[in-house]
Amino acid sequence: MVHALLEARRALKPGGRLIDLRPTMRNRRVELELSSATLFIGEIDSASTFSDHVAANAALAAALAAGDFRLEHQTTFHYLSDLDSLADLRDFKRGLRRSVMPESIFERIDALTADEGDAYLIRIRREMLIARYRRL
Amino acid sequence: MAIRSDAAGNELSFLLDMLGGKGGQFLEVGCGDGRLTRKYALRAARVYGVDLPSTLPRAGSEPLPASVHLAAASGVHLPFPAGRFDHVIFALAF
Repeated sequence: MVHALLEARRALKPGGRLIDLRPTMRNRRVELELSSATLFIGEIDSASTFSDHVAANAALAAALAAGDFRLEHQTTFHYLSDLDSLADLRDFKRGLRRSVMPESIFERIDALTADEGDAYLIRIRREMLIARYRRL
Repeated sequence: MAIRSDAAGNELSFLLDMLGGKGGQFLEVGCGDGRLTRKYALRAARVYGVDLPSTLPRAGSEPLPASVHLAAASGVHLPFPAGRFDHVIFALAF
C-alpha cells in the first residue's frame, strides 16, 4: 500500500482528497432476526487478513509522517448484508476468499429457524473504516 | 432469494458524507465490478476505476453509467498523468 499511496498522491490535484474505505480488523458477525428477537449466531473469522490491515495502517502512518497527506476525518460504520435463507448464506460463504465461516453457524440457524417458515432474516454485520485525507 | 449488500445504505451514506457534496474527477482503486462505483457515480463528473482483470465486470453485466470507465491496472502504476483527480477512493477489501 505504500506505493499505492505514493501513486494516489501523484494522481491527485494539490489539495485533493483521498478516501480510505476498508474493513476493520473486527470479525464479521452473523445475526438472526426472528419475529421475536435478534440473536447473535457467530463470527466469520478474518484473522488471516489482519496482516494486510496492519500493513495498510503502517503505510498510512508513514504517509502522514512524511507530510504527504493530512487526516481530516475518520469514523466507522456497519456494512450490513441481508440474506433470506441458508442457501443464500452458502452462496455468501462461497464468496469468501480468506475468511472462515464455521459450519456451526449453519447448524445453529437451521435449528433456530425450524419452526419459522420464511419469517426470518440472516444479517451479516461488518465494521468498516472510512477516512478522508487531504493531499498536501 | 438474494444477498442484499449494504442493506441499510450505510456505505453510500458515509461515503457521500465524507465527500461533502463535492463532485469532480474521481479515481477508485480497487473498483472490482463497480459495485461501489455505481452508488456515487451520478455525483461525479467522471469516474475512473482500476483493479485486477479478474475482478472487473464481465461481459453482459449490468451497464455502468456513461461517466464511469473501469480498466485493468495496478494501483502502484496508475495510467494517469499527475494531478488529474479531485478524489481518489481506496476501496480495498482484504
